[in-house]
Amino acid sequence: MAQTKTKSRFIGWFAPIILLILWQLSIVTGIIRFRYFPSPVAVAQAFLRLANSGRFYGNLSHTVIVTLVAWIIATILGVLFGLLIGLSLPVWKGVMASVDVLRSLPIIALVPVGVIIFGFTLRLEIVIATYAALWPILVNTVSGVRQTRSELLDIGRIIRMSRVERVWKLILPSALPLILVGLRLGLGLSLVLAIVTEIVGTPNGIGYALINAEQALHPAQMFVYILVTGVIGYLLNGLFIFSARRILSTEKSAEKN
Amino acid sequence: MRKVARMTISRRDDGKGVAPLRGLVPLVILLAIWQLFGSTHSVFFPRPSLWWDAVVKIERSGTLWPSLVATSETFIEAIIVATLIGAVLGIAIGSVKWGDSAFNPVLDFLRNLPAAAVVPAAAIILGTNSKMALVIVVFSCIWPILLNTRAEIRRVSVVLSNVITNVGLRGFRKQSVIVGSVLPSVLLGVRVAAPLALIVTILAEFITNISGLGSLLVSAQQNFDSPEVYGLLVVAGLLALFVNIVVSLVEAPIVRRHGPSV
Repeated sequence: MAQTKTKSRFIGWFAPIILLILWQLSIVTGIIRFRYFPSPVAVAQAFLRLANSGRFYGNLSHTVIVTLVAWIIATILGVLFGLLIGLSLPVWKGVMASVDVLRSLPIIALVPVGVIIFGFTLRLEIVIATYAALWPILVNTVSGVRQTRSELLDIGRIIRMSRVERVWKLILPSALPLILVGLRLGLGLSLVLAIVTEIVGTPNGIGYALINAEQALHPAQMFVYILVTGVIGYLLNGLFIFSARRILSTEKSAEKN
Repeated sequence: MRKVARMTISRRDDGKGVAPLRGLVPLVILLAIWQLFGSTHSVFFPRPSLWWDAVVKIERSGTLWPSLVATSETFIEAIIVATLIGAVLGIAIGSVKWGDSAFNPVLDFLRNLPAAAVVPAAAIILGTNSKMALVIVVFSCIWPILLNTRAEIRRVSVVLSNVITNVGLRGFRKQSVIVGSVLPSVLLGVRVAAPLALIVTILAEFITNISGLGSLLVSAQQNFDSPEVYGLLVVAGLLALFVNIVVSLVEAPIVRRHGPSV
């Protein structure tokens, strides 16, 4: 069993390595002939050069911090308003259609609106990233709360739990899996929109560095930044799934006790 | 006591479902207040009636419809290409035993790669044209289709392949049975992919300035023509709504025929 697992892991590393080798070979041999398509070796060299410069880490941390700040604001707002809308049927009927309209606006079309209001500032980045992350969190909180089994709520009423207690001890735990899904989607969107605003014009962060590298015709550097965004997304996602599993498993073991 | 009973019933009958239209009232009130008290000359928050005027102005200048057509063209072509490639790759990876372990790390990485970051790279390599936009949109919206198809083929493959061998299907008929069984999942993937594809299409136009809704938005923003920006935002929203409706319409009969995907 353990052997097959290490074997499958080995296969997993195999494919990317083969892809990289094919990429390198096809450029060296001239099969792929694009003027600005760097080889993996050139990308690796560019990475080493960038990794020794201080601005690389400045841009990196800027984007990560913006992403996380926007995500945290969106989480607070989304869960709060999600509870408000999900807990009360009249409120849900009264505002949910508006929420649906607002969340289905293509977020990218909101960027110019944001630029006109805020200019290319840090505030623009945070507002846009927050707006993008808000909706999946809010909508998932609403449906999580509304899918709480009515038997559970009946029990809460029978044992005379207060309203706050019912929300805290019954509704939130049962909505948690869906809320976590919303949080994960929100985290990804927050990162993407932070990068989009940087590409469009905010003079900081990975997106800005990326577009600079493009305009300076440094494709290898640009690929480094693309890979870095991929790695950030991958790591944030992985970190979130890891902690969400921890949260859910403690939740489950608490249920068993 | 009566109140408790009512609450229980109401929770039971609309736990899900479509939100009633009267939920639009807050939005309408907000726009009405904006219209009544907004200033005509506000750069940040122009009145909604000005948005309409701005869209009419773009229409008169003759750039609105060609841009919408350009955006829709890229979008529709990308959805078709992504569906075909995604379904074929999904079936291929899903039906090979070592497919998952071999490709999971690569797929995981690629689908987490933000499309926005890839746009400049595609622009510099392929040049700024609508073909580049197509490549980018396909690249970013193929994942839900591919992954859904792969998961479905994995789910049905044991029973289905037994049936196929027992009945003795070969060649084209075998393939058509497989395709039919994964079709609902493919469509579920398309449902997720379609809004994403529209956003990435506009994004590609936005960043590289190839003609379309995105480049109209950029030029409006660069001229600080805020009524135009708001108006185009509404146009983009309507386009997204339209896409959603079309996808549901296409999906419904196929799901009815082949059963819902889980």
